Amino acid sequence: MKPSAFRYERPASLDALFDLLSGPGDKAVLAGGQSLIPAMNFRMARPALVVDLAGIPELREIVREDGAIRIGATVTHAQLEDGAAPGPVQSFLRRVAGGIAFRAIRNRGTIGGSLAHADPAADWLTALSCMQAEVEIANKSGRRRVAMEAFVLGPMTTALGDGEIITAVVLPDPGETAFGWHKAVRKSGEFAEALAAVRLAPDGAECWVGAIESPVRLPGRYDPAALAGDSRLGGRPEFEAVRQGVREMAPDADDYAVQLAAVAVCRAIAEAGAGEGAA
Amino acid sequence: MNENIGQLETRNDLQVGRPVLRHEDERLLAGTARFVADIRLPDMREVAFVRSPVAFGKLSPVEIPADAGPDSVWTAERLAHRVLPICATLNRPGFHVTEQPILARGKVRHVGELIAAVVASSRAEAEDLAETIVPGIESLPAVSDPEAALDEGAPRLHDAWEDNVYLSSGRTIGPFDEAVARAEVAVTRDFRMARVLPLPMETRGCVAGFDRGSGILTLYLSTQRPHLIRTMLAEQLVGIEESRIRVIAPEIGGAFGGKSNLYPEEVALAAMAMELPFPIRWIEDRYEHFLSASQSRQHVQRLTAYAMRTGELLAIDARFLVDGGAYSMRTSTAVVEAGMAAAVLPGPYRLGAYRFETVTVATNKMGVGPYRGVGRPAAVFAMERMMHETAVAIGMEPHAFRARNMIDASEHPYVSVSGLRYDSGDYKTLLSDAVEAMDVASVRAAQRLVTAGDRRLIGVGFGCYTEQTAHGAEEWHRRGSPFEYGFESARIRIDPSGSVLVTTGIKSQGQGLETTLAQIAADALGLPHEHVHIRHGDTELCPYGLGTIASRSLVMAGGAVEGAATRLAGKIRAIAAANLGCGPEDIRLQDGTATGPFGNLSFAKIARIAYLELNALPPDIEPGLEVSYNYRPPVESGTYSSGVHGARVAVDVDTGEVELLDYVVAEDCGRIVNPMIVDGQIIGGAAQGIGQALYEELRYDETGQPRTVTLADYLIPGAVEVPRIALRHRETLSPFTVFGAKGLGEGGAIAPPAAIANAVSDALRRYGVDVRSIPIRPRDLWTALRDKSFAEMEP
Amino acid sequence: MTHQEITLTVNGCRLSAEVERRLSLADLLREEFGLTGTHLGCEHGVCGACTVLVDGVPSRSCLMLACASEGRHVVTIEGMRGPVADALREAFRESHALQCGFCTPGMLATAIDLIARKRASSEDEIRRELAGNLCRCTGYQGLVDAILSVGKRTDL
Repeated sequence: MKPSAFRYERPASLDALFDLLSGPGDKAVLAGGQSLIPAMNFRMARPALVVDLAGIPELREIVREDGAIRIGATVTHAQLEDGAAPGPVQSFLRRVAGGIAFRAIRNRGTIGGSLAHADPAADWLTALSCMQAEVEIANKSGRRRVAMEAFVLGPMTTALGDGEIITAVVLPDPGETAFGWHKAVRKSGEFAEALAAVRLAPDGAECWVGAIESPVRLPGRYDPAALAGDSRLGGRPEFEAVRQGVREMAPDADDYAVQLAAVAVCRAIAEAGAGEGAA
Repeated sequence: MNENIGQLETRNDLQVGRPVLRHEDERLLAGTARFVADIRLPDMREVAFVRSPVAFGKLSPVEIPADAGPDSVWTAERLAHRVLPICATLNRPGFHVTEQPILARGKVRHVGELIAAVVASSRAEAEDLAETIVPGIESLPAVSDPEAALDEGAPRLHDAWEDNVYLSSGRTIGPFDEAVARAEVAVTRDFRMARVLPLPMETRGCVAGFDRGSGILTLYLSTQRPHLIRTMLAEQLVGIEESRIRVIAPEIGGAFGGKSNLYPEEVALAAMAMELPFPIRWIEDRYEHFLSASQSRQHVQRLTAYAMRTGELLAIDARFLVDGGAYSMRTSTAVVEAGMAAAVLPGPYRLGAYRFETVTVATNKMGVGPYRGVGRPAAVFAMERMMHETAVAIGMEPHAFRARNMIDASEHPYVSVSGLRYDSGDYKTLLSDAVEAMDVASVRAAQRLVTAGDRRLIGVGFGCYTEQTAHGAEEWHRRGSPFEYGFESARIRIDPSGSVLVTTGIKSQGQGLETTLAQIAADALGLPHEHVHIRHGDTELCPYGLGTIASRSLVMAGGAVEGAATRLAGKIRAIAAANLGCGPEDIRLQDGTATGPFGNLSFAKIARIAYLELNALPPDIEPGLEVSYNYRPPVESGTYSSGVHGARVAVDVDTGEVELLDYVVAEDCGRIVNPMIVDGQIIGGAAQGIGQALYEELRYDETGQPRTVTLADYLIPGAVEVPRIALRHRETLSPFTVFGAKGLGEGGAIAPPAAIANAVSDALRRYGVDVRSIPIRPRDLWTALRDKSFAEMEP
Repeated sequence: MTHQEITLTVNGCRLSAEVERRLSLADLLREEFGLTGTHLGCEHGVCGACTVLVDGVPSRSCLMLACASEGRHVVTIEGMRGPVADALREAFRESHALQCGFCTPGMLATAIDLIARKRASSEDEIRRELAGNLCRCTGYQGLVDAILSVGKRTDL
């Protein structure tokens, strides 16, 4: 499975990058390559030009910005798994990053690449939605920041226009907020069948669900205490409320997918309630 | 001679029986081993194939692009003078033969079927060229389901057939009607097993080169059976005789049966090489592998078990429908699974009456080949599920019901109701080993405390089997196999410098035969095993043999090596005795030295005498120090390994997920030559069985399009999915094989679907749900549980 | 022009080649440099057989472009040496952690890294770390035993 032929460029600056992106023909932006290269090997993606971001150092930086954390687009999952992001976001980022695929993939795959690809089952989409992140997008003319809900428009579809790239993800300071996270996989390291990220507010848990759809926030707040414990979830009123919420968000999903998503949400809620959101 | 050794005994003066470290490891750990994709020949070009994108259709003759270089595109027309279609035969009445062209003509019958081959300087360029060739195909409605294949109006795959049936067969054995009438309990189940494939980590591959001067065609091929491939190539190719074909099977990255049959790709490569002035190679990629490597195990089954309330099993009625794919492969054919499943179903049980019916149908999918266990995983799944459910119906503990009906060790040799002759075995001991390891009593105690509000339900289940191994000509003949794998070869040569080379016709693909055969040769010759060098896979170097399949190699090649080594040892003694002034019976061989009462000689010295210093060689002893021996087992109905697998699972009622908590294999493969290698074979096989039980399925849609074509679609177990597997060994020697050893390679893969399905059924018993299909999908369990209520009382 | 000259360090040696831009790092190592110890099992990043160490960390060589590897330091199985690599090889042998050997180069790269990151403290942890390397022969038990034993050593 060898890719079709392409030209390759590795610009040393964002200006040079935007010049390349403004040219004619199909282009692909190469970050970690862990999604792009398989697609090219299968010849499902056939760009005439591959533009490598590895030569632009600012995309790899992590900086504090008045309490927020700005993570460059080509920061890898492994870096985040190893704690590269400082402050209160660090432990939740470590937890999410450490569950992505396998270490060898995490060594190359990037947070920006994952967001640009926008696979509903990608961990960052759901987790960053829950963290109320903003996506920084740049083009030849300048930059803008877009909230996650406005960035992800649907499966594999984002607000990125032609000639634009993600330059960073900006995470606000979550303070003392407890997070919960649950990913259901058929097999270790595989894409999620169900994904749930939760943040605990004073009046209950706010929940984001991914995988069955692009990340959506469930309406309502849920009580962690009602979902704690080892006994079965099915039949509990709080669980049925969660399930109903998922069903409303994903009317076309089959019953099992809804069930799995609802269970994932409940487990994430219980985890947040138990203060286990740390790595 | 039925010794039943309780625990493994290692004998310190011998190397056989010891966990000797492998000869193979050094090169594999250094990265210097050569797999087929690592072979480089000067001026070698790359081949890519144009494959059918549709499952069934009428194919127009392929147009070669005007700008394609000469000899860069090969079609059926171009190769017609060089190749014959593959027609796998079976000597059984009613068997329908398929005719598979090497490159398709007229019709295509499965997605991935070869249509054309292209040659270029690199694989990438070959794929570029292949993309420009768009075959003209008029799609036809496809058959993608085995039951649909039997329908009255189903599309017919093969014009010469009246229907889509490769072969039906059936028999009623014993007083069946009487048993049915007498029975107090009858339990019926319908089961389905999904299509799977062996999926070694190394895909297939072939490098072919033809030397015009000598007329010798050389193929490097990732295959389990180099000599047989050579013989078959001589039959499939026009204009070359077998003695001018050399097949070299280099390092093989796993095979499990998937690299035993003849594939059209190698015939195409061979034919093209004969027409080209440079060598060519084709290395299968993983996508191609999912489309066109042999597939297995897709069964639709209906069984009824008849029993008495006292626990006596009276009769089994079994029907197997097997999805055989579009073409039969040489030599196993599409019906390899059905026939075996029916024959082995009775397993380790005393069964007085048995009725079976098997049907193998053609569908528009890649064809069927053997996969570790072949028909046994399906048969054992069916039988062991029935044993479990019948026990539940009677109200007996499943393992007690099994024990009550098991053949006793003392009853061997035992001829099963289906005519298989079990030479030795002690199944009840294996069962009790597994029961003890699973601590069934504590599982039952925990289950009594379960309530409707419990989320995790625990269950325990077992799978028992006998396994026919190293069967010989009589058995292959009975099956109708056109090739009878009735012997195995070994040749041992000691060179003038004293180095020892053993060549043999088997082909190891990870089973460590370079080590185990060295242990056998070393003991027979009186040498440290490190000094014995085993080579295999090259038809030019190695004596004709039948390859490594069917758990035959240790017994058959072991027998051949032992035979050759014993005879060579005799010659060494004779030469030594003549030079040491004593009788051969006074000579002892140890550490590469022949020692008599008056002196000693090294093997090197004896070899020099035999080759280069003939003055010291008595004239009645033939010069040279080389012996060939072909081993034919004295009993050809096979030697029977056996095993009991036990699984303990937890099922999550909210999600249907199954967690494998514990797994045990209690097995008996007779005399163990290398316990470390035996353990590895069992655990590796069990991992594949766990894959089949819980994760693996090849899916095709209703148009015959394969839907599982990447490793993200088709899930094989990783290190998290395979638990630590406990092992219990018994050694019930075979009365007739050399050492009393039995074959082992497949056993681990046979029983996991049965054991795990029984454990899940056991866990969900209070909900009235039991497993009817494999793999066990969480969504299916959850869906089944939805409408069920928890039974408060023990049924 | 479809080709590009690249230079990188492989197993400590600076190597150059002129290659098609679409060539993968795996094919660069195997076809151009003759280092066939790195194997291709899937070319979509799942099986792990192609895993090598790039700038010290395990990476799928089938998912890296040769031309994007300019200037990098790559270590393949042929170059994996040192106390940990040697200890792992010995442990692999003693624990029967390989059968056909096809997945072994990727396993060794992953094992070297997980020992370095101190992720070999328990069987469960090792199994999770190995999830990205598929083996069809061994059932993983020998691999886990080997890595556990090397992980326990304090002398490496």
